[in-house]
Amino acid sequence: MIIARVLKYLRWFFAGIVGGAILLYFLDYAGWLPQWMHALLHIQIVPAIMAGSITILGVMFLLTLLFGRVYCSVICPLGILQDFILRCKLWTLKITKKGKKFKTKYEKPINWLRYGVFFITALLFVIGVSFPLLMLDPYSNFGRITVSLFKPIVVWLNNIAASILTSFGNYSLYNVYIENSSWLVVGIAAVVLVVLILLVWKKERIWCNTMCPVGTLLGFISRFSLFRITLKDNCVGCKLCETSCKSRCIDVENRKVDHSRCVTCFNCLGKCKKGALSYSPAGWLSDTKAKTGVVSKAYSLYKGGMQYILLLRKILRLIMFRGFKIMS
Amino acid sequence: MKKNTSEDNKLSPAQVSRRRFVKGVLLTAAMIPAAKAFSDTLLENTGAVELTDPTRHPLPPGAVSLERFKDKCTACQLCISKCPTQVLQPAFLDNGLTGIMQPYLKFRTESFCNYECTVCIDVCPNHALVPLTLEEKKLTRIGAVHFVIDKCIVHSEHQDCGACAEHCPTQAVHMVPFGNEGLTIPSIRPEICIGCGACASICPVVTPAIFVEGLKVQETAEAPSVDTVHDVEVTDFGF
Repeated sequence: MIIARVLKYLRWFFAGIVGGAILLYFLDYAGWLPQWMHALLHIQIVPAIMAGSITILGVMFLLTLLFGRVYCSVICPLGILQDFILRCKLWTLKITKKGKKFKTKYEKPINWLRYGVFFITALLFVIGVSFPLLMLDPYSNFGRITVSLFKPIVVWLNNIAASILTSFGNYSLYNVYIENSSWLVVGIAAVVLVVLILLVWKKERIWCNTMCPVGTLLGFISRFSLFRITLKDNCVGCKLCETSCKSRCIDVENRKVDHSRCVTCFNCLGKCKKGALSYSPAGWLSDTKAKTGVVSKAYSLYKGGMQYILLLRKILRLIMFRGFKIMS
Repeated sequence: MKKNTSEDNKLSPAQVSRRRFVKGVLLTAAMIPAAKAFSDTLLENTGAVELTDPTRHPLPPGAVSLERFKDKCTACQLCISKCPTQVLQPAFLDNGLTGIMQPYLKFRTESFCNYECTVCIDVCPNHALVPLTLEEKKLTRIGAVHFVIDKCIVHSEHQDCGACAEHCPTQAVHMVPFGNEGLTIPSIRPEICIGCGACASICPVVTPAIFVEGLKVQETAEAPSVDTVHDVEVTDFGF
């Protein structure tokens, strides 16, 4: 369905703009880009937590509560990088004509790992040890990879182009020298990038659903997102959606989607030939009720409150009428 | 009223596990202050007397203190990437294991902290560098200047220099008469030094005769005095 694919193309569009802008801003060695572009980095979640930006965090949490983990597909530069790596894999498969098309399948969440990593990182951060968060923050990892690995290549290309152009009398580019005084950053960034490529090649978005503390944090919220991917009743169980899921979170056999892991990439929507997949608030109420008992708790609070008010009213009436009797 | 039978007093398995979870969370929360105290003694030498360490590198302006900065900076390399003189470089183990890849100022030729610049402060998305205005930054001391007269070529070689005083934006380093050969030698006024490293970056001696020792806790410097500007009309050849 074309309409189903619109959401995916919208995601491509916005992720392309945000990811491209962040990448270019980091790579900008000559200060060509406007300074205000660093706003894209201020809205990242770990920086917002560090800076105590309640507004930014509030907006991101609200966004996740309404629409799911859109952050992971459109705003987080490491997420956009992973999608690009996956796109490279799809191109490679096409070129090599392996015939073995890209297929994933449902996998259970590795809860001990994602909750373990999250709670240990959060606990250590709260007591003042932010080292694990430094190592796991997706935005910072993207920055380290870009600055220590990609930027030197870009500058090297610039210098080659500059010398060629200057030999023709064109001085629009000039030689730029970057001092690299830390092989530690290069080393760590290289290891992270290699591991990331391997993870994405084999298991797509598994970083976002196991190691990334931001992913787990947003997963707590997206579990109750208003708009979510749901399988409707006319699903025939062909698994076309399940085999295209980057988070491996669509369980067609049980007609369930794990919303704490869905990164709202919308790759699945366009795959269904029966129109049985929807991105809508359908099932939000029953889902939330089942997961939290929040609705029943709210109702019992209401009942308890009402009983208290009725009791107060009884006492008040007693006082009023007894009082009248005494008076008269 | 229902009668309480012995079966009603037993908790369901879900209730038991819920109570265990709540107990666990409360216990963990109660342990946090103790754990913080323990981690402080483990990772930082908070008990020892602070000795000056001339090899310590300054942190970017706005870091406030090493302790605070290490907690806030996630080493994203953005300030390092945007620094116009590339004086900001990623640390190895300079600030301990937990400070790896975080920025520090590495002074070398053409690399010092520009007086009129706040790029690192402006771009830091974590606010690990507190958003100072340019005026506040100009009074933020990130390091203290030290002058080793034995290494200075004015003293050891009787050579005319003065590069450091020429570069110092606040004139915390200024030249005073030396000897009877018409030479001048640097003299420092530490109270107006902000540790920008312009002097250290230009000193021609291989291990600079004038250098900046980074401060663990950044301070506020005194404002440099501003001379009155005289309008001089040049009627002759200037030199």
